Order: sequence, then C-alpha cells, then structure tokens
Amino acid sequence: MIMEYLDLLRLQFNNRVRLREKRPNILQLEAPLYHEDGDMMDIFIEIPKNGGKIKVCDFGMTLMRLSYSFDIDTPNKERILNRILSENQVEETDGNLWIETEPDKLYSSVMQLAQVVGKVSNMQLYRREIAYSLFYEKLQEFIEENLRNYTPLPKVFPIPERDDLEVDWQLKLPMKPVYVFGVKDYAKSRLVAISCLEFQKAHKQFTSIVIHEDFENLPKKDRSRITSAVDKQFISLEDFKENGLSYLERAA
Amino acid sequence: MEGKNAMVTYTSELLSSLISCKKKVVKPPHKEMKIERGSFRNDLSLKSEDGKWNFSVFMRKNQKFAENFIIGLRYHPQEGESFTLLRCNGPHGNHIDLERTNSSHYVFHIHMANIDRLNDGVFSERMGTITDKYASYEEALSYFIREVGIMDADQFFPEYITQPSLFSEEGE
Repeated sequence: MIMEYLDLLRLQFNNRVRLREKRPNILQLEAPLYHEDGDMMDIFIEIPKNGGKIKVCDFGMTLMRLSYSFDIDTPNKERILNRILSENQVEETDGNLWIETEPDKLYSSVMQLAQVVGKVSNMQLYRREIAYSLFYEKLQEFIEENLRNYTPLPKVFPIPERDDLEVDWQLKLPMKPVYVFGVKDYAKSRLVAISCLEFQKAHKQFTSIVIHEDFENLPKKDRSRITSAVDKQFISLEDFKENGLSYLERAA
Repeated sequence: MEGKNAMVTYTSELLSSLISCKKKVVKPPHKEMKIERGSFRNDLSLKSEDGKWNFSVFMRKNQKFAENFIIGLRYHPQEGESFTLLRCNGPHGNHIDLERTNSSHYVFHIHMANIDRLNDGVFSERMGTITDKYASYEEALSYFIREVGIMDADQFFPEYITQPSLFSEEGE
C-alpha cells in the first residue's frame, strides 16, 4: 500500500524524485528542493513498522545546518522559530522537524516540510534584524519598567531639521536631558558618535549615555570614536541594568 | 579576482591566505561534543598567528546519521558580516552543482569560499566539490585541522592528529 503512494509521489514530482533507503524504514527523498547553498534539502520519509501514520521529517538536519551561522540561542529567536513551525503546522522534537501524514497526502506534506525547511534555514539572513530587535526589546523593556521616574521619551530629534540624527530615548533630569542610545554594532556606534558631535556643535545641552550590546565586539577605532564623543558608556545591557540607575541618581 | 564584503576588498589570494594561515586557539573546544537539538556540536575560536584575523570553527554531526556531518571555518572580519571559508561535509545528500555535472550522488564534499559568491553577500561557500580526502567525520576533522593550520592542535585534538590514515598511500 505504502509503496503505491511512493510511486504516486514520484508521479506527482514528475519523476524528478528518487527515494533512497537511508536506514531500514527510513527513506531519503532526492527531489529538486535545494538550500540556498546548493545542497539538497534533507527530507526523509519514515515508514511506520506496524501501520500508523507516515512521518515526513528532517532528523535535525535543518537546525544542525543553521547552527553554525545562526544558533537558536535566545528567547526571541526561539519565538520566531516556533512561530514558523506553528504557522506551518510542523512539529519539532529534539531538533527533528516533522509532520505526520497519510499516504495520499505525502506530496503535500513533503512540500509543506520543504517550505518550513527553507524558512528556518533563511532565519540566518535576518540574523542582524533578529538580534537587533532582541537587544532593543530588552533595553526598551528595562527603560520602560525601571526608568519611569525619568519620563523616558522614545525617538527624539533634538535638531528638528535633521531627521537623520535620532536619539533612542530622552530622559528628563532637572539640569539637562539625558540622551540614551542603544548600540548593537559598529554602524550604529558611528551614527551615535556623529549625532552627539552634531548636537554639541548645535550647542544642545545634554548628557549622552550609550548602552552597548557588547562594547568589546566593536572594532578598536570605533571604540575610540565613541568614547571620545559620548559622556557615559555601559559596556553591556547587564552593566546598564546593574549600574544605570545609580549613575542617573548621581547625575540628577 | 576581487569581491567586496562591507568595506573590505577580498581577493582569491587573500581567501587562500585566510584558510591556510597558521592559527592560534583562543577558545578551545569542549573535550566532548555536546548534544543539542538532534546533533553533536563543538566549537572553537581561533586567531591568526599575527593576531590580525579572527576565526571560528564549527563541528556538527547528526545524532541519527553519523555520516551527516559538517566541519567548517568561519572568518569574522573586523567590519562586515562573518562568512564561511571552508566547509567539509559528509555525504548527506545531493548538491545542485553535482547534479548539473552528473557527478555521483551522496559523496563526501568540500565547500570553499568563492569571490563571486562573496560579492553577492551570501553563502560565499556555495560551490561544492567532491573530495577523496576523507571518508568519515574523524578523517574529515584530521584533514580539516591540517588544512586550516591550527597550531598546537595535538593539545586540543590528540586523537585526530596522531591517528594515521588507514588508507594513506604515502603514510601521511
């Protein structure tokens, strides 16, 4: 019975598919479904030994491949992965992405899994955005929860005609405002350095604080540039969480 | 040939140097690979002997299928995105380039960074070529360690440095 459906699968793939016995009861699909790097997608069909449903799965190959350039190691990345899986009705067990299916739905299940494999693999293309949003999410969360006394104001433009010079948050202190910037990478670090120098040139009265995701990760020249341009830096979000409040109390 | 990644211009010669230069271990690998999400994993960090270049090495082996492994070298430039220079794969499946050339399927193969791909900004190491340099994860790691010039490798991979190749023609 199952062999009939495997023949049907071949037909549906226009005979551009082969099934190769990987292990007893495990067939590897050889079909024109490729990763961006040219490797064929690792899709397997697990034939049940005693009846039951067929499993279309990847035996952890997708997450293994992804892990060397983009690891699912933060709650935000985990959330995005889970969303991809749940929206496409694919399960994950110990890294194995799988779908249980009926023999007559084999083709659509293979295509469904292939789509998810592609989406999960492409998470690495969005690594900067994913990491960026996580850092900002965490920083925003901390500022909103812990710095309420300073009336944090997001997205401030101290020089109205310069909409390219943005302050992430402005904190209200008695003497002068504090401009807070989150810095994830060298590009943002350079923008913050330029912005602060422009604000100084425009005779704005402010104190600038930078919270780095990882100060040590910045190129040496960028560490020098930003150190010279801003008033206070926290080398990590943890550093800011630990020492930010006491710094602001002293500055107030 | 030249390619650009952020503000750095790469040449084929530079790519070759990045792969083959002597490298010091900055962060050693774990003694044992750890199992995570269906695969055995280990990593280490490297720096070129002159301290100019930073690298990482990833080692992955599928928990279910031992022949499905990846060992690779990634370069982390001071500016711009990191990318993979060299990747030794087990016979996990087919590759589109091998299909086009009607090469045999399911073979051990090596991906190398390529200037044109680097210029595109993604998957610099797309090109896959068949290799006869190894026939298992252990042999691949032994080959990889020699190929990428890991210094004092015997301290971190004693079993892979001392192990002679069983089928070596010249007693390598």
